[in-house]
Amino acid sequence: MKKIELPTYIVYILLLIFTIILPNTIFLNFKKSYSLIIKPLIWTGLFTISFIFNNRLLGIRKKDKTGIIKNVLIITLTYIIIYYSLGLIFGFLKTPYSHSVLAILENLFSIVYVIILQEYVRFFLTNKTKKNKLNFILITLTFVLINIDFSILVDNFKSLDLGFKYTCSTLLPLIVNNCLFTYFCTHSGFIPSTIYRTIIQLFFIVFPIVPDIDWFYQSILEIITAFITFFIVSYNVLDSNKVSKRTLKKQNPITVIPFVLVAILLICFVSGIFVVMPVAVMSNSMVPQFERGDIVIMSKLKNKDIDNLKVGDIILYKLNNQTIIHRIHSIVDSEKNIYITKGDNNEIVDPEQVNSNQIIGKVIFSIPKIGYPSVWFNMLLSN
Amino acid sequence: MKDKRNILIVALLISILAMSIGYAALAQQLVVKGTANAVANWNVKITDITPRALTGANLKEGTPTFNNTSANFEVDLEYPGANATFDITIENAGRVDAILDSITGIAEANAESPEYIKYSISGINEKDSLDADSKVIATVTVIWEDDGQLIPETSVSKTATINLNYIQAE
Repeated sequence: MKKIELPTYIVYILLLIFTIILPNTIFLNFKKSYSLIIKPLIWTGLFTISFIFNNRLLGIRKKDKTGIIKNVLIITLTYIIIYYSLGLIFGFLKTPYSHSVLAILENLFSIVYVIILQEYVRFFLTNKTKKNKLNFILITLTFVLINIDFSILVDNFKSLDLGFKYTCSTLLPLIVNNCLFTYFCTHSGFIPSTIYRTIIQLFFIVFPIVPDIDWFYQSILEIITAFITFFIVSYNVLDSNKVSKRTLKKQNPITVIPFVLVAILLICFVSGIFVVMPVAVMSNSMVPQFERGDIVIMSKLKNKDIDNLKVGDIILYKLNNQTIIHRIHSIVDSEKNIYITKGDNNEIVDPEQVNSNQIIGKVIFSIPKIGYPSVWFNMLLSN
Repeated sequence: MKDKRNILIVALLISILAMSIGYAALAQQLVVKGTANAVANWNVKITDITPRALTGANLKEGTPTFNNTSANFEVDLEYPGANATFDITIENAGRVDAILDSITGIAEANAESPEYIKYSISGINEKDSLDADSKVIATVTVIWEDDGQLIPETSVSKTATINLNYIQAE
């Protein structure tokens, strides 16, 4: 059994004090000097102690280690290409980073230098402790806490919907990525996780633009990339451990490709990238056609499709930040496409007329009951 | 396998290089919408919006509102000369000094119909610095200019999207 040595305890305790507790208490008063001086100094200190006492070898052949590094490099570069290519669809945003040589050097020092030291300290902790689930979770959780910006945490949990957005867009990718980095450090050293984090940050710092991707897609892309990397690297690790051919075949990353593709297609379908998309019904105003908790499959309408709408069609439209699914009761102006709508279960027509700018799509068919999770979630947010 | 991976890495690096060259050549044609806010150490945000003066103006229920990156208000201006002024507090809660690179949206909104409703902003200017841990108040005014035009029979509306693009100070 691997006994935890004193330097490991010291590094862990210093880590908790200097990178989680103090930055969110005393160091809050040192804004610019914290990121430029104090933070790099702290990590340099932790790195130095880790480096001096890291006398245990990883036990992985150089050839296998190089293979893992190359695979991580390929995945990271592919991620960058896909990520920036999405900007051609969604548009771009300028990064706030200055691109003068001095500012680039300053950002490299305060961000990239710290990442390299962080990953070495993570590697030290994984290398000097027993490889079990508890240590894995503890180290991962510690680095998640280190990388959370507590100064914006309260703002992002002011309401339940803000909290949900922050959890999905920031916390979830942070947890998934840190699980991956801890896995890297446990099995293949600190270089793969350093490469993964550094290359992505380098692009943010050096490249003047980033794609204007919705938080949902950004988060999905980060999580899927982390999972793909995990499957490929875990296969490399098994291969280097000389496991049986049967186990190796079972763990082949190619076997997960269909699941990843199905997951991507499902996410694209639910998020409305395709011509048809599902929408959960939140009220009973269209009973008996469909009821609360059903899912309607809607086809998105272009301007020429809106011209062809007729009385009796069920449309989905926006009104005062709400989405309504009602039937066209009558057409007020067929040239300007102005309609009067009515819920099948309502006694009277809707008070406000609907114009073409408000119309999103037309209902094709409905699937009973499967939209209840969305209804419950919506109720939770409303409360 | 080993050689194939090396070739793949080189191909990917060449692709990224080509993208960078493409960006340099076609930067003017790309759709660049504004400045990203969600990056490390960067936290310039709106922390408050308060109505300072309302003359002949009625605030719509539920407004003004704000979140980290946008502030919204809706007012009904009742007659020519009516106006509403709002103070918007912008805070640099990050760890990087910032400067206001550009203010956009005012001229565009004022050029749109109805032209007698005008927006203006004061209290901040382009190239103003906003150091880490400091605040600034921008004052946005919307006015129905009294230039003798007829009062419309039905209500009219005009929306302005004013962007304050803060970037890292050098």
